[in-house]
Amino acid sequence: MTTVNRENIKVLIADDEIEFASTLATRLQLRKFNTTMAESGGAALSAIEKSPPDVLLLDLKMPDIDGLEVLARLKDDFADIKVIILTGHGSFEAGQEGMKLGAYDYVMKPVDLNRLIEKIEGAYKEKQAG
Amino acid sequence: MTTSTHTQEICLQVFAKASAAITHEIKNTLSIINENAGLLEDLATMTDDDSGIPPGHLLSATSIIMKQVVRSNVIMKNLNTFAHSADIPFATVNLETTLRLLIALTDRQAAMKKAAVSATCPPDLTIHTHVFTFESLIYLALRRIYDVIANQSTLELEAARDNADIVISFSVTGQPLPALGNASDDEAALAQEIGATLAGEQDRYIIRLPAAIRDE
Repeated sequence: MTTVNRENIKVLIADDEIEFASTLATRLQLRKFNTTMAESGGAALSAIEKSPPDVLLLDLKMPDIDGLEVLARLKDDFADIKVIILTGHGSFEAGQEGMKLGAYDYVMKPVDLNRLIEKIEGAYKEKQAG
Repeated sequence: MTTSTHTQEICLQVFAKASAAITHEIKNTLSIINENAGLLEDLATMTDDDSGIPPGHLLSATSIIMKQVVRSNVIMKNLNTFAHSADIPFATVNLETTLRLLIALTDRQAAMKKAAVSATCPPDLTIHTHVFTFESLIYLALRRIYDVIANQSTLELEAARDNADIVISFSVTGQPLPALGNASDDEAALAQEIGATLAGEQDRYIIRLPAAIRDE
Protein backbone atom coordinates (compact mmCIF):
# COMPACT_ATOMS: atom_id res chain seq x y z
CA MET A 1 0.00 0.00 0.00
CA THR A 2 1.49 3.33 -1.04
CA THR A 3 1.56 6.19 1.39
CA VAL A 4 0.97 9.78 0.39
CA ASN A 5 2.62 12.95 1.58
CA ARG A 6 -0.37 14.77 3.03
CA GLU A 7 1.32 18.16 2.64
CA ASN A 8 0.96 17.70 -1.11
CA ILE A 9 -2.80 17.14 -0.92
CA LYS A 10 -4.71 20.36 -1.43
CA VAL A 11 -8.12 20.09 0.22
CA LEU A 12 -10.83 22.72 -0.13
CA ILE A 13 -13.79 22.56 2.27
CA ALA A 14 -16.94 24.25 0.92
CA ASP A 15 -19.59 24.57 3.64
CA ASP A 16 -21.70 27.48 4.84
CA GLU A 17 -21.52 26.24 8.44
CA ILE A 18 -18.36 28.22 9.16
CA GLU A 19 -17.70 26.70 12.55
CA PHE A 20 -17.93 23.23 11.05
CA ALA A 21 -15.66 24.06 8.12
CA SER A 22 -13.08 25.95 10.17
CA THR A 23 -12.79 23.24 12.82
CA LEU A 24 -12.59 20.48 10.23
CA ALA A 25 -9.92 22.53 8.44
CA THR A 26 -7.94 22.88 11.66
CA ARG A 27 -8.15 19.14 12.34
CA LEU A 28 -6.99 18.29 8.82
CA GLN A 29 -4.18 20.85 9.10
CA LEU A 30 -3.05 19.22 12.34
CA ARG A 31 -2.78 16.04 10.26
CA LYS A 32 -0.64 17.88 7.71
CA PHE A 33 -3.19 18.30 4.94
CA ASN A 34 -2.96 21.53 2.93
CA THR A 35 -6.46 22.77 3.73
CA THR A 36 -8.47 25.87 2.86
CA MET A 37 -12.18 26.68 3.10
CA ALA A 38 -15.00 28.53 1.34
CA GLU A 39 -18.35 29.46 2.85
CA SER A 40 -20.61 29.31 -0.20
CA GLY A 41 -20.87 27.71 -3.61
CA GLY A 42 -19.81 30.94 -5.28
CA ALA A 43 -16.83 31.36 -2.96
CA ALA A 44 -15.81 27.76 -3.66
CA LEU A 45 -15.87 28.31 -7.42
CA SER A 46 -13.78 31.49 -7.03
CA ALA A 47 -11.27 29.67 -4.86
CA ILE A 48 -11.06 26.85 -7.39
CA GLU A 49 -10.41 29.31 -10.23
CA LYS A 50 -7.49 30.78 -8.28
CA SER A 51 -6.03 27.56 -6.95
CA PRO A 52 -7.68 24.26 -7.87
CA PRO A 53 -7.60 21.74 -5.02
CA ASP A 54 -6.94 18.05 -5.42
CA VAL A 55 -9.94 17.19 -3.29
CA LEU A 56 -13.08 19.25 -2.72
CA LEU A 57 -15.20 18.49 0.35
CA LEU A 58 -18.53 19.82 -0.79
CA ASP A 59 -21.63 20.53 1.28
CA LEU A 60 -24.82 20.20 -0.74
CA LYS A 61 -26.99 22.87 0.90
CA MET A 62 -25.34 26.26 0.55
CA PRO A 63 -26.51 29.80 -0.19
CA ASP A 64 -26.24 31.20 -3.72
CA ILE A 65 -24.93 28.16 -5.61
CA ASP A 66 -25.71 24.79 -4.05
CA GLY A 67 -23.37 21.82 -4.01
CA LEU A 68 -24.90 19.94 -6.92
CA GLU A 69 -24.65 23.06 -9.10
CA VAL A 70 -20.99 23.48 -8.10
CA LEU A 71 -20.41 19.87 -9.06
CA ALA A 72 -22.07 20.37 -12.44
CA ARG A 73 -19.97 23.48 -13.16
CA LEU A 74 -16.73 21.66 -12.39
CA LYS A 75 -17.41 19.06 -15.06
CA ASP A 76 -15.99 21.08 -17.96
CA ASP A 77 -12.90 22.88 -16.72
CA PHE A 78 -12.02 21.13 -13.48
CA ALA A 79 -13.04 17.55 -14.10
CA ASP A 80 -9.90 16.22 -12.41
CA ILE A 81 -10.81 17.61 -8.99
CA LYS A 82 -12.04 14.79 -6.79
CA VAL A 83 -15.24 15.76 -5.02
CA ILE A 84 -16.39 14.23 -1.76
CA ILE A 85 -19.94 15.23 -0.89
CA LEU A 86 -20.66 16.21 2.72
CA THR A 87 -24.31 15.59 3.41
CA GLY A 88 -26.38 16.20 6.52
CA HIS A 89 -29.37 14.73 4.73
CA GLY A 90 -31.14 11.95 6.58
CA SER A 91 -30.81 9.50 3.70
CA PHE A 92 -28.12 8.40 1.31
CA GLU A 93 -30.05 9.70 -1.69
CA ALA A 94 -28.46 13.14 -1.77
CA GLY A 95 -24.95 11.69 -1.72
CA GLN A 96 -25.81 9.15 -4.36
CA GLU A 97 -27.28 11.88 -6.53
CA GLY A 98 -23.95 13.67 -6.25
CA MET A 99 -22.09 10.53 -7.30
CA LYS A 100 -24.28 10.24 -10.38
CA LEU A 101 -23.04 13.74 -11.23
CA GLY A 102 -19.45 12.61 -10.95
CA ALA A 103 -18.55 12.95 -7.28
CA TYR A 104 -15.84 10.57 -6.07
CA ASP A 105 -17.70 9.64 -2.88
CA TYR A 106 -19.84 11.05 -0.08
CA VAL A 107 -19.82 11.11 3.72
CA MET A 108 -22.64 11.72 6.12
CA LYS A 109 -22.46 14.37 8.82
CA PRO A 110 -21.45 14.18 11.63
CA VAL A 111 -18.20 13.14 10.03
CA ASP A 112 -16.02 10.22 11.11
CA LEU A 113 -12.65 11.90 10.59
CA ASN A 114 -10.61 8.73 10.08
CA ARG A 115 -13.08 7.53 7.46
CA LEU A 116 -12.99 10.93 5.78
CA ILE A 117 -9.18 10.88 5.70
CA GLU A 118 -9.24 7.46 4.06
CA LYS A 119 -11.53 8.84 1.38
CA ILE A 120 -9.40 11.98 0.87
CA GLU A 121 -6.26 9.91 0.44
CA GLY A 122 -8.05 7.46 -1.82
CA ALA A 123 -9.35 10.30 -3.94
CA TYR A 124 -5.87 11.84 -4.20
CA LYS A 125 -4.31 8.53 -5.22
CA GLU A 126 -6.94 8.06 -7.91
CA LYS A 127 -6.29 11.59 -9.17
CA GLN A 128 -2.56 10.96 -9.31
CA ALA A 129 -3.14 7.72 -11.16
CA GLY A 130 -5.00 9.79 -13.74
CA MET B 1 -66.17 23.02 13.91
CA THR B 2 -63.63 20.35 13.00
CA THR B 3 -60.96 20.43 10.37
CA SER B 4 -61.43 18.31 7.28
CA THR B 5 -59.36 15.24 6.58
CA HIS B 6 -57.79 17.03 3.64
CA THR B 7 -56.70 19.94 5.83
CA GLN B 8 -55.33 17.54 8.41
CA GLU B 9 -53.29 15.84 5.69
CA ILE B 10 -51.85 19.18 4.57
CA CYS B 11 -51.00 20.10 8.17
CA LEU B 12 -49.27 16.75 8.58
CA GLN B 13 -47.27 17.37 5.41
CA VAL B 14 -46.26 20.79 6.73
CA PHE B 15 -45.18 19.27 10.02
CA ALA B 16 -43.18 16.63 8.17
CA LYS B 17 -41.53 19.32 6.05
CA ALA B 18 -40.70 21.41 9.12
CA SER B 19 -39.38 18.34 10.96
CA ALA B 20 -37.13 17.42 8.03
CA ALA B 21 -35.68 20.95 7.92
CA ILE B 22 -35.22 21.14 11.69
CA THR B 23 -33.58 17.74 12.03
CA HIS B 24 -31.23 18.72 9.20
CA GLU B 25 -30.31 21.77 11.26
CA ILE B 26 -29.74 19.61 14.31
CA LYS B 27 -27.42 17.39 12.28
CA ASN B 28 -25.46 20.54 11.44
CA THR B 29 -25.11 21.55 15.08
CA LEU B 30 -24.14 18.00 16.05
CA SER B 31 -21.55 18.00 13.27
CA ILE B 32 -20.01 21.17 14.65
CA ILE B 33 -20.03 19.78 18.19
CA ASN B 34 -18.54 16.53 16.89
CA GLU B 35 -15.68 18.35 15.14
CA ASN B 36 -14.91 20.50 18.15
CA ALA B 37 -15.01 17.55 20.55
CA GLY B 38 -12.64 15.84 18.11
CA LEU B 39 -10.41 18.90 18.11
CA LEU B 40 -10.27 18.83 21.91
CA GLU B 41 -9.25 15.20 21.67
CA ASP B 42 -6.55 16.16 19.16
CA LEU B 43 -5.29 18.84 21.52
CA ALA B 44 -5.28 16.42 24.45
CA THR B 45 -3.16 14.06 22.37
CA MET B 46 -0.81 16.88 21.52
CA THR B 47 -0.40 17.56 25.26
CA ASP B 48 0.61 13.92 25.73
CA ASP B 49 3.12 14.34 22.94
CA ASP B 50 4.48 17.45 24.68
CA SER B 51 4.23 19.23 21.36
CA GLY B 52 2.32 22.21 22.73
CA ILE B 53 -1.22 23.38 22.18
CA PRO B 54 -1.84 26.20 19.69
CA PRO B 55 -2.99 29.22 21.68
CA GLY B 56 -6.70 29.87 21.58
CA HIS B 57 -7.74 26.48 20.21
CA LEU B 58 -8.99 25.15 23.54
CA LEU B 59 -11.10 28.20 24.34
CA SER B 60 -12.39 28.40 20.79
CA ALA B 61 -13.48 24.75 20.74
CA THR B 62 -15.26 24.90 24.09
CA SER B 63 -17.03 28.17 23.27
CA ILE B 64 -18.18 26.80 19.90
CA ILE B 65 -19.55 23.68 21.60
CA MET B 66 -21.47 25.74 24.13
CA LYS B 67 -22.80 28.02 21.40
CA GLN B 68 -24.00 25.08 19.32
CA VAL B 69 -25.71 23.50 22.33
CA VAL B 70 -27.63 26.76 22.83
CA ARG B 71 -28.45 26.84 19.11
CA SER B 72 -29.69 23.23 19.21
CA ASN B 73 -31.82 23.98 22.24
CA VAL B 74 -33.50 26.93 20.52
CA ILE B 75 -34.13 24.87 17.37
CA MET B 76 -35.66 22.01 19.35
CA LYS B 77 -37.71 24.38 21.50
CA ASN B 78 -39.21 25.90 18.36
CA LEU B 79 -40.09 22.51 16.91
CA ASN B 80 -41.53 21.44 20.26
CA THR B 81 -43.70 24.58 20.43
CA PHE B 82 -44.92 23.96 16.88
CA ALA B 83 -45.72 20.32 17.71
CA HIS B 84 -47.72 21.34 20.77
CA SER B 85 -49.82 23.68 18.65
CA ALA B 86 -51.81 20.60 17.70
CA ASP B 87 -52.66 19.78 21.31
CA ILE B 88 -55.67 22.09 21.50
CA PRO B 89 -57.40 22.65 18.16
CA PHE B 90 -58.76 26.11 18.88
CA ALA B 91 -56.88 28.52 21.05
CA THR B 92 -56.07 32.16 21.53
CA VAL B 93 -52.43 32.90 20.77
CA ASN B 94 -50.23 35.95 20.66
CA LEU B 95 -49.76 36.81 17.00
CA GLU B 96 -46.29 38.34 17.26
CA THR B 97 -44.97 35.28 19.10
CA THR B 98 -46.57 32.96 16.55
CA LEU B 99 -45.16 34.83 13.56
CA ARG B 100 -41.69 34.87 15.12
CA LEU B 101 -41.95 31.13 15.71
CA LEU B 102 -42.74 30.51 12.05
CA ILE B 103 -39.93 32.78 10.92
CA ALA B 104 -37.59 30.81 13.17
CA LEU B 105 -38.87 27.49 11.81
CA THR B 106 -38.06 28.64 8.28
CA ASP B 107 -34.76 30.24 9.24
CA ARG B 108 -32.66 27.81 7.22
CA GLN B 109 -34.62 28.47 4.03
CA ALA B 110 -34.18 32.23 4.55
CA ALA B 111 -30.47 31.68 5.12
CA MET B 112 -30.21 29.82 1.80
CA LYS B 113 -31.28 33.11 0.16
CA LYS B 114 -29.25 35.18 2.63
CA ALA B 115 -32.58 36.88 3.33
CA ALA B 116 -33.32 39.04 6.35
CA VAL B 117 -36.82 38.57 7.75
CA SER B 118 -38.61 40.80 10.21
CA ALA B 119 -42.05 40.86 11.79
CA THR B 120 -43.91 43.96 12.89
CA CYS B 121 -46.94 43.32 15.06
CA PRO B 122 -48.57 45.01 18.05
CA PRO B 123 -47.28 43.02 21.03
CA ASP B 124 -50.72 42.47 22.56
CA LEU B 125 -52.45 41.38 19.35
CA THR B 126 -54.03 37.95 19.66
CA ILE B 127 -55.88 35.62 17.35
CA HIS B 128 -58.40 32.95 18.24
CA THR B 129 -58.30 30.30 15.56
CA HIS B 130 -57.39 26.74 14.67
CA VAL B 131 -53.77 27.36 15.53
CA PHE B 132 -52.09 24.46 13.76
CA THR B 133 -53.93 25.22 10.51
CA PHE B 134 -53.07 28.91 10.79
CA GLU B 135 -49.40 28.17 11.48
CA SER B 136 -49.29 25.73 8.57
CA LEU B 137 -50.71 28.40 6.28
CA ILE B 138 -48.05 30.94 7.30
CA TYR B 139 -45.33 28.29 7.03
CA LEU B 140 -46.30 27.39 3.46
CA ALA B 141 -46.48 31.07 2.49
CA LEU B 142 -43.00 31.73 3.87
CA ARG B 143 -41.48 28.70 2.16
CA ARG B 144 -43.07 29.68 -1.16
CA ILE B 145 -41.86 33.27 -0.85
CA TYR B 146 -38.30 32.19 -0.02
CA ASP B 147 -38.32 30.14 -3.20
CA VAL B 148 -38.96 33.18 -5.39
CA ILE B 149 -37.25 36.15 -3.74
CA ALA B 150 -33.84 37.35 -4.87
CA ASN B 151 -30.71 36.68 -2.85
CA GLN B 152 -30.13 39.09 0.04
CA SER B 153 -33.72 40.33 0.05
CA THR B 154 -35.37 41.75 3.14
CA LEU B 155 -38.78 40.23 3.78
CA GLU B 156 -41.13 42.09 6.09
CA LEU B 157 -44.22 40.64 7.71
CA GLU B 158 -46.66 43.16 9.10
CA ALA B 159 -49.70 42.18 11.10
CA ALA B 160 -52.48 44.45 12.31
CA ARG B 161 -56.08 44.35 13.47
CA ASP B 162 -58.64 45.66 10.98
CA ASN B 163 -62.06 45.67 12.65
CA ALA B 164 -62.98 42.00 13.14
CA ASP B 165 -60.09 40.80 11.02
CA ILE B 166 -56.37 40.28 11.27
CA VAL B 167 -54.39 41.35 8.21
CA ILE B 168 -50.93 39.93 7.65
CA SER B 169 -48.92 41.30 4.76
CA PHE B 170 -45.67 40.04 3.28
CA SER B 171 -43.50 42.46 1.34
CA VAL B 172 -39.93 42.64 0.14
CA THR B 173 -38.21 45.92 0.95
CA GLY B 174 -37.35 47.97 -2.07
CA GLN B 175 -38.84 45.66 -4.65
CA PRO B 176 -42.13 44.07 -5.59
CA LEU B 177 -42.57 40.48 -4.59
CA PRO B 178 -41.29 38.71 -7.69
CA ALA B 179 -43.63 36.39 -9.52
CA LEU B 180 -45.41 35.26 -6.39
CA GLY B 181 -48.42 34.26 -8.41
CA ASN B 182 -51.31 32.61 -6.70
CA ALA B 183 -51.15 30.75 -3.45
CA SER B 184 -50.80 27.00 -3.78
CA ASP B 185 -53.82 24.71 -3.61
CA ASP B 186 -52.71 23.63 -0.16
CA GLU B 187 -52.58 27.22 1.06
CA ALA B 188 -56.02 27.85 -0.40
CA ALA B 189 -57.43 24.78 1.37
CA LEU B 190 -55.94 25.82 4.71
CA ALA B 191 -57.17 29.38 4.23
CA GLN B 192 -60.69 28.21 3.53
CA GLU B 193 -60.67 26.13 6.71
CA ILE B 194 -60.01 29.15 8.92
CA GLY B 195 -62.00 31.69 6.94
CA ALA B 196 -58.97 33.43 5.49
CA THR B 197 -58.67 35.15 2.13
CA LEU B 198 -55.40 35.28 0.21
CA ALA B 199 -54.50 38.10 -2.15
CA GLY B 200 -51.38 38.71 -4.18
CA GLU B 201 -50.99 42.42 -4.93
CA GLN B 202 -48.28 44.13 -6.90
CA ASP B 203 -45.99 44.82 -3.97
CA ARG B 204 -47.31 42.50 -1.29
CA TYR B 205 -49.02 39.27 -0.43
CA ILE B 206 -51.88 39.54 2.04
CA ILE B 207 -53.63 37.07 4.30
CA ARG B 208 -56.83 38.37 5.89
CA LEU B 209 -58.63 36.25 8.44
CA PRO B 210 -61.04 36.58 11.34
CA ALA B 211 -59.45 37.63 14.62
CA ALA B 212 -61.71 35.10 16.29
CA ILE B 213 -63.51 32.18 14.77
CA ARG B 214 -66.16 30.06 16.44
CA ASP B 215 -64.80 26.75 17.57
CA GLU B 216 -67.83 24.66 18.33
